[in-house]
Amino acid sequence: MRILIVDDSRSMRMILKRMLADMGHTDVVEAEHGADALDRMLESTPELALVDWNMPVMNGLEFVTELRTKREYDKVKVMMVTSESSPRLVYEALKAGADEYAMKPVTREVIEDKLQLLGLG
Amino acid sequence: MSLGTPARRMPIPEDVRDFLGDLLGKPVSVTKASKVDFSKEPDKFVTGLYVDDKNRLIGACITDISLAATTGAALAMMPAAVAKEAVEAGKLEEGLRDNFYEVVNIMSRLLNGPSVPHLRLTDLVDGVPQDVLDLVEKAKGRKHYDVTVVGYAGGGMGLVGA
Ligand SMILES: [Mg+2]
Repeated sequence: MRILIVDDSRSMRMILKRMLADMGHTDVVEAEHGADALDRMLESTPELALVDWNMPVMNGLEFVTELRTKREYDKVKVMMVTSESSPRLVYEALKAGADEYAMKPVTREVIEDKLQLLGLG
Repeated sequence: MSLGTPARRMPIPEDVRDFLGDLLGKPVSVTKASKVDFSKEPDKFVTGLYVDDKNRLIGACITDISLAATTGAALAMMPAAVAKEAVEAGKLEEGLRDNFYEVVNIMSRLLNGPSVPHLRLTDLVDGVPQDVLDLVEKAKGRKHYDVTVVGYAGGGMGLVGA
């Protein structure tokens, strides 16, 4: 399964990548923000995108909103992985088309549970 | 004398301990510390600036360089020696700084909650700017902590929220 990590923090991308590798997922693509992610997706479509909220250029909410206007990406599952925890923002993200929501700091157990919920476990 | 309960619930040491423990993937100990006068030696600190949805400064995370370097190194599993070097140099090099930025970014979660203005990290600066010193004086929420990360070092942190 190809997984796209979208986060402006290099350390956070590294942590998530390491966590995914421990779970056996090594086909991982990284992007620094939403616009970068859309570019990467032209090269190869992931099955899952782990998406931060606060990023420069194009934030996570803008990315999901944009992604959901493109029919070719209908099947891409989106999990927000963010420090934003307010119910209002969770609602906004889900309404925009995110499939799951995990709050930082995220643990391997949480990612595993969410993948199960998405039918990707 | 009480000026009333803080509008924003400031995290207790156990909250900070669990939070940093999960984030860094290492045992962390946190105790309540006495108040620090940040204006005395501002160069010894690094400050994360939290703003509201209208970009007004409403919160800050002020840590000494030792804690910034410690958590920055621990987050990326860099050796403790990297943090020690930063402490000796008195500043964070770019990698540690990036890592610590994310620590402070995620830390905003500890200050957010229902029925208080939402805040988010907007910048990480060296020292303690005057507007933060002013905020420290007038903010309703203010707590100080001593933090130690097992296998690394630690340091002091102040959280402020209007
Ligand atoms: Mg971010």
